[in-house]
Amino acid sequence: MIEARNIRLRLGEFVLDDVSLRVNRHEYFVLVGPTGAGKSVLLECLAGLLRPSSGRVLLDGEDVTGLPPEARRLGYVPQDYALFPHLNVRENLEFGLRVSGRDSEIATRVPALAKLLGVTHLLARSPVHLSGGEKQRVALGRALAIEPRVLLLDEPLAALDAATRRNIGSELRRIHDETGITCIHISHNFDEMIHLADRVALMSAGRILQVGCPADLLRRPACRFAAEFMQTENLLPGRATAVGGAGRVLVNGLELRAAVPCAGQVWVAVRADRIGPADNDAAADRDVNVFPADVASVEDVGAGFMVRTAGPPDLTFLATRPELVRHGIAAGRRIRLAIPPEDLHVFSDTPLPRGT
Amino acid sequence: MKKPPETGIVETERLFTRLLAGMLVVALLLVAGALVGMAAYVNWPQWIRWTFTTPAGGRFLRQIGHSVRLSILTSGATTVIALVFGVPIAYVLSRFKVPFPIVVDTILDLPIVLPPLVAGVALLTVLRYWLGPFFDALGIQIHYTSRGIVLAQLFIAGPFAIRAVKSAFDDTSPRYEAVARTLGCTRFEAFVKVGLPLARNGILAGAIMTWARAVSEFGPILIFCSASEKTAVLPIRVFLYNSAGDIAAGVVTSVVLIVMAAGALVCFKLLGGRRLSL
Repeated sequence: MIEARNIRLRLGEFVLDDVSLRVNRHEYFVLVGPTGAGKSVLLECLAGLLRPSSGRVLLDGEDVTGLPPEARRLGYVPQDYALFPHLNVRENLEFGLRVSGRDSEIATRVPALAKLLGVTHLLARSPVHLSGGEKQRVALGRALAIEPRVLLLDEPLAALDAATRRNIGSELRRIHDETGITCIHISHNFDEMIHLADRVALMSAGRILQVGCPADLLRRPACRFAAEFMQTENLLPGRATAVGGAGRVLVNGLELRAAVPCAGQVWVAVRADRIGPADNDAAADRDVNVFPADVASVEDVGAGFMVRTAGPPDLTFLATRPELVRHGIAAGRRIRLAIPPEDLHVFSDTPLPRGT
Repeated sequence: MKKPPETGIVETERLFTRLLAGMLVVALLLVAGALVGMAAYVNWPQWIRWTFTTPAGGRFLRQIGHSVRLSILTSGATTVIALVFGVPIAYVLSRFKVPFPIVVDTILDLPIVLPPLVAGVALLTVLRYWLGPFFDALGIQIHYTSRGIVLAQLFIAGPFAIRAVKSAFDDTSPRYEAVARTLGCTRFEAFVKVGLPLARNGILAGAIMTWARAVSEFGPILIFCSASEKTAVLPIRVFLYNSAGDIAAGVVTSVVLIVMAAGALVCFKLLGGRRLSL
């Protein structure tokens, strides 16, 4: 378990503003946020490469804030991999064990690692001429060789082309699952997070805005920034009134029922896969929000069809081919839409963090 | 027939390229012409015969031999000392935040832009007049000796070495050392096992330029060690011959210096040195 407590640090334009974070043992934790959010700075604080001006770093409950990086035994893979160009792949993999006087483990660990990562045929090569994916594997192997307590990955997939990225991404997850190592993975990529993470922290401008499992961030963004970063297709301002144990939100003249009580100026976030054309009998189901809408456009997005309706309010939803046919969805047609109240995520926006 | 406009553009471009090429040729001719012209002043076959057959030629050969040896010894010592101190200093300057960087930079650069004579005067004043009694008491003589030559060379070449080596460290990302540290290296081990090997070529190139600088040092040596038989490194030797009116001997000595400097320059280029900062 690795924990950051109230970390503060100012480093040129980057700033960490009272960041606290707790990553559990065996967890695959992804730190997302836009460029300049302070993700790398936080990672370097955890690694001991940067010393926070205040706050503490705890490793399995032990305070390591004052320890230099070499005493922390954390695996660190920087974005540019930083493979030692003066050593070949084998020597890169052996480096950590050698410098920590664990030479006896080299004979067993290095071949096993090379096999795990599929780089056995590269051992005698210089890292300089490897492909991006190969470099990433070697960098990973070099970090894993010392059996680190936590693996810190700074944008491990950013420099790779799309195909290699998917490949190495699932590889990372496989290695995590096989070794059970705790991983902290920095990303500014939405898909990476969805595919890899057990839990996610969203950072912006040196602060952590939300922590949760990917589905939480996806469906229950804590603030407008989170909703926008998570590419919430339907993000609408509204006015809510509490009604009994639930709420009603007026969005652009349309009244929608929400499953939880809410009141005041709010934002409504609904993902495209949670809106659908209403079945005929849905009208009878009083719990579901059903309302008419005019189809503005239908776009083939591969995994389905993105349908846009002209409001108010304008909405976007994802439909399957059978749904298009069954409900006669086409541009210019009037259809009826249904949103279950529990999929209506209502939140009042906290002021955005400084600097955004 | 009217030419299509493209032709006009191509012609202007060709004119421009030729103009640039012409300027390069002029520059090359200026340097090469001056050197070749100087070398052509001497009738080489005759000179070589004279050197190896007459007693006066033998004396000249011994003088040149002494100067070459003295130059190589002093500049070699200077380069070694400059690196022993320069590499760690350069590493610190490259990797750490130094207080008052502008002041530090300026002081280190000063000897490079200083008129060399002034450096000599400074050395003479401080070491001979201020600290002279102290050294006398210890029985150490610095001025007018080869020790003095090394010191005079070091005064100029030392800062130069620091700059050259610093740029070698600046060119290698500190991230390598950061990774090395997460793998278990102390700061010192990361410097020795990663920082130093990665900057090796840059350091070697810096060493060669430092040596070339030291070997061609003249002004401070003249002031601090005077121009005598004992302190006649190659540049001083050229000066001595020229002062005595023996232009041909001065030219031959100069050619020896040029060959050495050119050799150093070729090594520098082969090691991948691109810039000659200052």
